[in-house]
Amino acid sequence: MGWIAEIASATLTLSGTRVLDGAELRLAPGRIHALVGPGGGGKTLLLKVLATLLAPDAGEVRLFGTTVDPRDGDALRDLRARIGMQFQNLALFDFLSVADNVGFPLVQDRNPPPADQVAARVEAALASVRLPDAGSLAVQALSGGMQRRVAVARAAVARPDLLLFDDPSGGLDPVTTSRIFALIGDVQARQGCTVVVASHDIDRLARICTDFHVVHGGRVIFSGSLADGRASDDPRVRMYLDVRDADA
Amino acid sequence: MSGTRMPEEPVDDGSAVGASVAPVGRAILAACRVVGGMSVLQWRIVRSMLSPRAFDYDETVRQLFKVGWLSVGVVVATALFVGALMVISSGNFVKATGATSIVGWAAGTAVFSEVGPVLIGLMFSGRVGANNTAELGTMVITDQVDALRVLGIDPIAYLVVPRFLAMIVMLVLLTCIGDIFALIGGAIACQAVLGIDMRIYWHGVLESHLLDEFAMGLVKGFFFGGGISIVSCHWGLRVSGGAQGVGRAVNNSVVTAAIAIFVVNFFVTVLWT
Amino acid sequence: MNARATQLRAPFVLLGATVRALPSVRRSYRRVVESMFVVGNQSVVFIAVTLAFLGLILVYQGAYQAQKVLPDLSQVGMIFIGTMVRTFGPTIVALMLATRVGAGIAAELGSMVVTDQVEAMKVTNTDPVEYLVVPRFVASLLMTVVLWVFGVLVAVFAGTLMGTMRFGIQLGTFLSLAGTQPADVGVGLLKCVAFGIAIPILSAESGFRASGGSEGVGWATTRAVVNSSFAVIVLDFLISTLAYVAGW
Repeated sequence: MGWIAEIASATLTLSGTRVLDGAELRLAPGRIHALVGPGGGGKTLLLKVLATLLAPDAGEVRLFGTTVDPRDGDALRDLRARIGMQFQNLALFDFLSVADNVGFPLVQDRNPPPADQVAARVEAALASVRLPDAGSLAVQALSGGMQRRVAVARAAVARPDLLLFDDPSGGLDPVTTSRIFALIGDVQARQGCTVVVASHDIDRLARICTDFHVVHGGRVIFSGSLADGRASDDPRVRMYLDVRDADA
Repeated sequence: MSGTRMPEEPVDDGSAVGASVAPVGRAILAACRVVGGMSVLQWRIVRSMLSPRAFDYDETVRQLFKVGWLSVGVVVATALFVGALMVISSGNFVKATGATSIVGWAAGTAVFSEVGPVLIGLMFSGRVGANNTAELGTMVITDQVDALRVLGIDPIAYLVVPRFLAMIVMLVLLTCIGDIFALIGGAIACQAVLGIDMRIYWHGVLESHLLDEFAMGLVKGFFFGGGISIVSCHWGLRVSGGAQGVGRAVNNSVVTAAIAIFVVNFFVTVLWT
Repeated sequence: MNARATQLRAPFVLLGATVRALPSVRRSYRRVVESMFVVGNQSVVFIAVTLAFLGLILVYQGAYQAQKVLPDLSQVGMIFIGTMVRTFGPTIVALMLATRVGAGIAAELGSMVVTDQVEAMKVTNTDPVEYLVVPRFVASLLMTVVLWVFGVLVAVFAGTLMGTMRFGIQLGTFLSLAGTQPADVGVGLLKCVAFGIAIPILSAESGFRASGGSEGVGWATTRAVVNSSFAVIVLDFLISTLAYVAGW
């Protein structure tokens, strides 16, 4: 089976600290993957490497079957057109309306679709995150949960093959969090893409994810199903996959 | 871009006359609020300084060193270039009239009385004032100022007064040093660019008895220092609004300081001469 | 040493990238015009106030000294206007713009960097230089020239009031263009172009280097003001020397 994304022996040093230390990650296509692990352990960095925003100092990154060359601008463009990302602090453009934010990935494409098609797809995207009338509002006018849904809509609107979520539920109340995770499951089911979610919320991840990867100290110390992880010999893996046994 | 309201845009009430007059009125009210706020701050500073037990000697000395270290390099470099600039600008006039002896006098007068204090003040405002606003603004956002209040420490006495004193002392010193370096820069330009012997230049400077102008420049430095510190502390302590808030505060700080410098400069000159 | 060299090179690299991306202005001219309005709006009152006081003080000192040294005030007006156009106008207007517009650009771009909006742009295949820097660059360049003309007019107006009312110089004698050669206009224009390029590039470069949340934005803004102001002084010196040596 062809992996949709592979990171092999990736090493990265930032500001004098080695933040990725021989990280290995293989993602099977069409599934929802979970990235779990301690804060600062490398989850966000791995997502950024997958999004081609960061290039490791050593090691290889392959996306959609081709090796990523950070110096090849055109190749990067083509890759990025197939990737969507929701950032940890949302990164919604505060100088654009909600509709313009969601339509941004469509409009900035080299061959953008005609304006009425963009408007239709934006409307559909907003409807799918249950914010049908929010288009003309400013981003600042929405609550945290609603902003998060806009970020999800923006990440998914261009129907990317690889969809990345960095802490989709940070700081939200439990009801909204459940809705966001359900939304992620919906998007994957409708668009058939590959999804990667970095989060601390094991219970909610367990409801939608099939593959789990534990990231600790800049390396991926486990990749597999949740059941295998919970039965692992490595106490750290068990700890991050089953919070109830933290003191075991 | 498509019907979004930017956060600071005024609300349109529909009338054309209102639309043109209202922004002016709002600007004047805003200016009054700012000036009022800073007057209150000045008053609180004076009151704090009058009670000796609240005076933090160590912090003041620390601020003195910090302010000086931050600004000396920029001021000296600026002064050299500005002095050279003054001399070169008079170059065409000197070439036309052959009045080489006037260069020293002209450079000396201009630097000591106007150009020196104003430009040094502007660079000081950018280097130290902006820095100060950013620092205090950060402290506000990270709740450190509130923490001080909870500990029973008056933020004005602890944070503002030392900076106020340090900036005044430093800017007077820097105006003095900067004036000298500006003259040096002028001398070099005089010889290297205009081809006039440096000795004629220095002779012109020293013969001109510019003590009065030099003193006026230092007095301006005194007032500029006070103004810049009050302005920068005022905007720093009023920060709100997250990531953009501190940037906006620094922006307002340098703009207000620049206006204050030009206004104060004018009044000091007119009242002195 | 290596980091220092990169730091010194960075503005030139950005300038190169901006110039290369200039053709995109054809598509984004609306954003350029928007930027011009922002710059104008931000600066008009500020420049009017400062340049008015500048005009007042220049004429005051000029007439005062002329009275002391040679009791002939007939040349004050024309020398004042000439030096305003060639020297004080461009320099002081540029210094004011360095504080107002430079700080504005650094604050805007800096806060976008620390909230990941710039990275979100990269992921959606938008070149931050093309989208963010180019409109501000073009707007700043044009507005520096426009505000130079405006500033000179304001200063001359204020200076005329001072000259005629306080020193009793005849209006016709004062408002003489005899001290203003075409070369003066040329040099003033050249300075405005140089300043109008340096300020947005240095400020954008500072903004892009912001890191660390709100504090980072504050430092970036401070750096932008200092760098831009100093660059104005140095460029002023270089162009004045060039103009003198070339006999303009």
